[in-house]
Amino acid sequence: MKKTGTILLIAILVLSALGFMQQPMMHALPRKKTFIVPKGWPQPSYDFSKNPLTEEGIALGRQLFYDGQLSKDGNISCGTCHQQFGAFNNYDHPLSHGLDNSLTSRNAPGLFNLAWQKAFMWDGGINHLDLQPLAPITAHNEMGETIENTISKLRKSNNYTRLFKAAFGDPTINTQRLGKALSQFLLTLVSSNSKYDKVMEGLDSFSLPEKLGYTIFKNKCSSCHTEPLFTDFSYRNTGMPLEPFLQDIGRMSITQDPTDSLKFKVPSLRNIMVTFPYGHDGRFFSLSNVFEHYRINMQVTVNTDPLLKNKLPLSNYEIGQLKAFLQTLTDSVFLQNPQFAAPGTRASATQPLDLHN
Amino acid sequence: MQINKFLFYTTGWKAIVFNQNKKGRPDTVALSEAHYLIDLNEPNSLKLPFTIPANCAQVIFTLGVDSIKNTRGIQTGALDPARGMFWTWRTGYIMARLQGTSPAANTAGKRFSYDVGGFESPYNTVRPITLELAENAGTVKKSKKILYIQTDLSFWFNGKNKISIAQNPNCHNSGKLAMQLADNYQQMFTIVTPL
Repeated sequence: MKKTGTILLIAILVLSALGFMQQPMMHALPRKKTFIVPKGWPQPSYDFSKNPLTEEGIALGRQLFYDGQLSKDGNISCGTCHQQFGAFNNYDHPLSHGLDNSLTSRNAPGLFNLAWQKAFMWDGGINHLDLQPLAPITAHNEMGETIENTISKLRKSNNYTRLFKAAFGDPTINTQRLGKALSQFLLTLVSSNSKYDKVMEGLDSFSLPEKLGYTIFKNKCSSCHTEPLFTDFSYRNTGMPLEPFLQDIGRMSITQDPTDSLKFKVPSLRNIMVTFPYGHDGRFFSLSNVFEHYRINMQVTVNTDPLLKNKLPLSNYEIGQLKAFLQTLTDSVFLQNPQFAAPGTRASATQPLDLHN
Repeated sequence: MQINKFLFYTTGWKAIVFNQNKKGRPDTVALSEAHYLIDLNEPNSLKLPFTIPANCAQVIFTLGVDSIKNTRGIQTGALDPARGMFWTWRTGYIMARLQGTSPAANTAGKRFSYDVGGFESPYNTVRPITLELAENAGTVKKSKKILYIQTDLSFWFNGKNKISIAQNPNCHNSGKLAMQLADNYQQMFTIVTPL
């Protein structure tokens, strides 16, 4: 009996000691984070099972997003051309500034609701969110760095060794983990808190012009700018003539199919009031320019979208109401969410002065 | 002409084996499902880490990278985009690369550069290769023999299609030219009699 008692006591001691040891180990594991799909939205297309969100993974992605080390000269980060106050577009820039005073050839789009997007870039040429950052990192007129060099810089940093270990369980730093970490941060950029969303939830109501604008929107715009994401992610030729200097043929450069000439991805209209200038090359300075394009300036060709064969007739009155409605798509919670700002800083509450619309 | 770089991906290595026991019915033996990046500048990459089984009559492999690996985000190892055989501006592996100089090239430094890629129809550049072992089946009697495969680079230009360096010194996207080059180099392999 005594012997059994002793064994039992030892067993209890060992177990309780293990209990103490388990505590710090539990903390070392990345903490899972659940991705919340806003009410009424479709299921995301990103495969979270291959890259489960964790607090540490998101923190690492955020650190990387704002780190100029990812560029050749150490000055240009993802956040340089994707600014939070512009819904992560390049605020007030038709094209962006890359390495050595170069200019990009396309307008940096806003970054939000990327979990629902199947293909990236204006031409849809990139088929996975994890791969997307490799394009700006390596483009000579953006961050101008090689993948190899980017990885080797990160490997030399004690801080990143620690952060990668925290996010992935071991300190290996490679291209795959760079992409996965950036995706984790980018996936958290969900914009679903605009006035429009509150009205849809029954928590707010449209003013008269907003309501009239919404009706016009549903009649004339929503077949391409489909709710709730305000894009159907298709590629369409909207009668924008070829820009003679950039010579950007859009989707056709990916598919080589002449019927895809001058087709570009339908952009989301969420946060549209802060994402000017508009169009794949930023050719539209203001929303007024966009409306003038659709109702007057479009060049209808064989490839122009069937829905726009007669252009898009809009009266001044309709444009006024549409503008009122589009204002309701601004998500000020998203634009000022401190979790999306550069680490150690607060989101800038004041946007640069906007005189465009 | 001078060749500076010659690299290509292979995967899906299989051997067709004539098994003595089953009369005339060949067996397919999977040799490796891994992807290998063959780089002429890296001698270690030229030797593949598996052996040819006895009574092997045919060797089958894929030149290029599986379409699945082109659609599932970032891969590691030989398929790490950091290896430089990957288009970052549009998703897709460069299945094969041939770069060098030629007096025929009307370009700076007389350079020509062919990056052949594209994994989606109608411009899928992945090519199956089937190589007959010299003369009759069963040439390789014993396993663990080294099989030597030779590549004749002239097929890039003079294969099924005539590719003129003067007309087309560069290929850096999927499309018709990439398909023609892939059809050409599909024929470049021959088996040197096993030693």
